[in-house]
Amino acid sequence: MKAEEFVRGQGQYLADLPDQDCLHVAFVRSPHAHARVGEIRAPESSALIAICTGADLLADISPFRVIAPGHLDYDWYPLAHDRVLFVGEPVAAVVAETPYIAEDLAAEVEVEYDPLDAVTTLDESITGGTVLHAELENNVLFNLPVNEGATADTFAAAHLVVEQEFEYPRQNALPLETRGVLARFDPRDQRYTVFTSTQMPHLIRSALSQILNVNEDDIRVIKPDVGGGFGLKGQLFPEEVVLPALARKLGRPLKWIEDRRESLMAGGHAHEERLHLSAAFDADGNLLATKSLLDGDAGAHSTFPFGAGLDPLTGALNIFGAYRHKASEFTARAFATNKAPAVSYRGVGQIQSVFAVERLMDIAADQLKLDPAELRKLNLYENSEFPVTSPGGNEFDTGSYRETLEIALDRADYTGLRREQETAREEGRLYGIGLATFNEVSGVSIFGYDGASIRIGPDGQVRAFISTGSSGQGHEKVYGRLVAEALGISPELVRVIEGDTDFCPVGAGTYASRSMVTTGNLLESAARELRDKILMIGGLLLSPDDLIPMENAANELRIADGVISLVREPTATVTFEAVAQLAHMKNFDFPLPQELVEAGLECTHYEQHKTVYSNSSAVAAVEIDPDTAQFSIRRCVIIGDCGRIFDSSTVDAQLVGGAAMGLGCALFEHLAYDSNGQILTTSLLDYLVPVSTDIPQIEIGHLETPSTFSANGTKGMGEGGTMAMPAVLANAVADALMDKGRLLNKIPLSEENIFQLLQIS
Amino acid sequence: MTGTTSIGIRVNGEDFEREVEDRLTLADFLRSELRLTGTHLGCEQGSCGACTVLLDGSAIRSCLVFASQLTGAEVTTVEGLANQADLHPLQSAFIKNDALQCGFCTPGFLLTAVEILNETDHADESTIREAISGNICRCTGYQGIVDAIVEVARSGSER
Amino acid sequence: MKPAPFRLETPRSLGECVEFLTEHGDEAKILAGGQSLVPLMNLRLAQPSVLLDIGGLEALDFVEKNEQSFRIGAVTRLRDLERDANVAESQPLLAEALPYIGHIQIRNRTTVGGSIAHADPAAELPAVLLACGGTIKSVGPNGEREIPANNFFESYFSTNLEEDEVIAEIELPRWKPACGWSIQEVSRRHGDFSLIGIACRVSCDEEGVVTEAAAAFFGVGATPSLAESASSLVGTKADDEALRQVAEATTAELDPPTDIHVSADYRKQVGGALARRSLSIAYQRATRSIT
Repeated sequence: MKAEEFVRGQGQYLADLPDQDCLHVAFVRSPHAHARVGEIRAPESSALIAICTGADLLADISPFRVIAPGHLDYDWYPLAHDRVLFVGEPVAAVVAETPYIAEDLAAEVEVEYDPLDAVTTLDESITGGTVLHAELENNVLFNLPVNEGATADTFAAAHLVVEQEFEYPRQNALPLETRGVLARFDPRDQRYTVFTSTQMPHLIRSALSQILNVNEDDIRVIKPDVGGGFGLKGQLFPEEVVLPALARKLGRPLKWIEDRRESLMAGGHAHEERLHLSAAFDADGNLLATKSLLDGDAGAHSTFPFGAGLDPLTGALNIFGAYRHKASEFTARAFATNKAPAVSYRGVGQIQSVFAVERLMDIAADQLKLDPAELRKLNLYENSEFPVTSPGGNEFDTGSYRETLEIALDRADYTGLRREQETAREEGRLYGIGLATFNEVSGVSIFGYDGASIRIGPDGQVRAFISTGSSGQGHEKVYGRLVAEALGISPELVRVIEGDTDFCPVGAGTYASRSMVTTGNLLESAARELRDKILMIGGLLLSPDDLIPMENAANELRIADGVISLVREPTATVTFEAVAQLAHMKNFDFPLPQELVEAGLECTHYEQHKTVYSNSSAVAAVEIDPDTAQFSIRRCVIIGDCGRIFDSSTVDAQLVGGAAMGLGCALFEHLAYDSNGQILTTSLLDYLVPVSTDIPQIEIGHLETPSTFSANGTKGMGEGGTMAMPAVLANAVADALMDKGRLLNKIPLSEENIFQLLQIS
Repeated sequence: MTGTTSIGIRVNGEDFEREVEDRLTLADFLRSELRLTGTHLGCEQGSCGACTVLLDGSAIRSCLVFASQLTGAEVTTVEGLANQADLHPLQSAFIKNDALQCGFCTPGFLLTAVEILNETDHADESTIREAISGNICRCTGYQGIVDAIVEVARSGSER
Repeated sequence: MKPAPFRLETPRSLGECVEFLTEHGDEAKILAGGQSLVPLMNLRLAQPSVLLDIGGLEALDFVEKNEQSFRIGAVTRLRDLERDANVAESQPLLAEALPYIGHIQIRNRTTVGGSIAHADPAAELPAVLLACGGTIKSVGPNGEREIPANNFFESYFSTNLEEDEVIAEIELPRWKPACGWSIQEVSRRHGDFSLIGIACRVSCDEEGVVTEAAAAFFGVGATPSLAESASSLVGTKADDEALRQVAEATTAELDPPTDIHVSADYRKQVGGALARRSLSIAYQRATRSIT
């Protein structure tokens, strides 16, 4: 059991892999946000085994293009080509016997830089004149306008239009395990083995095969235990290219473990976005139309596989998604700046849009003189309306949008909270209540098929191979049980194998709350197919003279706890193990009649799944200390609906853990740059994440409205808690600040930002 | 200029003699010299608590101590908690209370918790929350961790 | 990141430590608890070539109380102070400050001398020492020296200590009767360095009239600093109006920096509020002990 391995300290994360034969790599990184790179001088030291610059690497790799719809592509190089575009960009790799020595030598490499003007904000990127990528005309990396002009008439005729700009800061998912790569090249079979702390082994393999100019099968990518990903480990990073390329060149296995400073500086930024939203209402408060402009700060590069448009596009496609309205118009754009490239981070795109939309709904409620809860209830889709196609073109499966809100309000005792607020205000205290309710894109499969494969051995040992991979989501436990239940055997017989491209079916990996929806469904369907075969073979053993064909097996035979019986004669039984033996022709007294049934017990399914939509509602109450501008959370309730729940403790853990992470996004997390593009937050003293004393009691609950788009009825459940927090806490803080709160349009909800609002006279 | 030091150190009840580079941190000594990789490095800045071990019975960050300082010292790592087959009560409680997901922070929390339990007779939830505030967990939201430690504190089964 | 190479020396006495310091000058750094120095070394922001590990010097690990004073040896660990009944009984301000400092793992290693010598302007201990009117005793090639806390802290991370001097102990005056205390700070999370904080001490006479008020700010500039404004409480009964005036004067008096966490404005405003809050608590504690 994984959990037992982990508490014993026996987990094998990347840094723990055997490395006695490895050399160690350290990267020389740019201290400049934007500069031309001149001569690179290696230190004269016998300890320096090798140094590799961007120019050296070009002999072994091809430049790479991130090709995705709406994206403007250009050549990407893993080591700086002629210019560096952000602080922390790798310029050269240094190889030595130990990590200590490699760092010593990296510090001694002299690089000539000719600094250039740095583009550090969206406005500078849009209008500043400095273009970062020579192949492009400007700094637009992504641009997708949808339904242009479609809302003009509705807005012109509306009773009320509310409009507001919102800012969401740059953040880092900060998995506690940093990234790392261990690469080997075997000259005998000319194959690479790349261990990497990733969420998507197959996509990494695809990219590496293009960049290293070899077949996909010449590369084996293995994901060891991963100490948290949260989206950050869901893309290709330069180090994943440099290590295998250099390992081949040097004929030695190489290892690199990212340090925290590198990670905060260059290892995956996310979320930074500016959102300009408008909403049109009628006099009764019905939402009529919405118009949105989402501009993402992509940093220096589009990253593979999602590209620079990831955050703004994901947010825009489902903006105002939970609310019924007739017309929607939106534009998602992403711009290049001299900051670290943006990657994914839990709540991708939607953590920003939910924050902005929910703030806007409160602002609208205030102007319509409606209670925020009433305005939401009026506009949320009713359960009976599904399936629904949104004005943005999304097909929503099912949901309990209004119901979760009502339950959350009830659980939090909303009317009681409002009474408490009245009393507090009479006493001059700053007490506020916030709501948030939203639907959530999940199970997204934009890269095609996922796969799951079940192979049962002659002794009845079951192996389940999947294309998604756990970084703490408990796949082994959940999928082990799922396969066992579908087969009718003990979970102890099942081993889940993931994260190895040599064994696992091809698929896109784990992100966007998709594993249960994709590989969960595939495992279940593959297991059912195998069960029918197991039953049929069981039938052969139980009633050899009266053959039960495969299509009738499920009706005429039963399997439970690994024991197969005839429905009509339950006392006669045969074991699952005996069937497994027979299927592999190991029963010499009674060979498998091959004319009736094929030998072996294996089944593989591939499918591309439809996007499914979870939904959540949250209520929070806060009180601000006017002396310090800090606030305490008095109440926090989240009710989620992720469709059918297969393993309730795993779902609970994802919701609570996700909410804690969302609380970090709401309160603390902010990667800051100065105007020269120097990053100011490179340690955990500056980039803050929540600790135990920051997390209030988070009360959770679930509804189960099965998806009609996924065979097992499940929907994604990894991100609702995260998305809820910036929105619900911002609304609560704004409510506490009364009139001054109207202007709350950015997070984090830091002491300074709240102080600035308190100072407004 | 680099120096080396000969040290004699007891780790998880076993004595080791090694010649170490003066700058080798205790964490790297445990991981690379003794192959005890259960002690994890999350920041090397003294902030995340993942590398917490017991040094002469006290929970400390092993990235902020040099092995060369530790002649005569006694160190306990996560590998030293379980008694062969039997898990330490904290380890069992962590599994039972969903106190871990990715597991990377878990060893550091366990060793911090050992000190809390040794120190206090009646550790309540708020004491425990404060005591573990030097350890970062990104997965669980801490509730399961707090519940697990409270459970063991109540049962007194660590003694 | 990993530290740059260095050589570790383990002096057997303070005298030997001073000899090493004299020999190596600014190439050498004293390692006590290492909780501030080693993070800087791991980030390669500090690269001393010689480290003098004095953390094991037992002669410097003590808490001693007598009629006049309260002495704490330089390498006494903060966790040991937390557990020390004498500290809780005789030095309530220090006792109240200790849990604010870092976390268990940090306090298990951090030494009193190391924290004072590091002189982080946002740290609690230097301010406590200042508010209490403590003294730092150092040893150098010319023998011992006593430095009052208000002459000790000179700038960011820099003190009155010479390059070849080392702290041997700190001394705090005995706590007077009818004396109250409070430490208040705002930090972004529990255990973090404060954005701004205040440690204060208030004495009053039998009538409840304030006879002495000292307040030291931390996190407001280059050094911990005594607030002039607190002394205006003397002669009052620390009523709302007197406290309001102190708060206002404090806000006017402070000239703090802006950093990535909060602005100077924030520190000025909140400084006033914390002064009011902490002095009020200290006064109530002082009067409680006379009734």
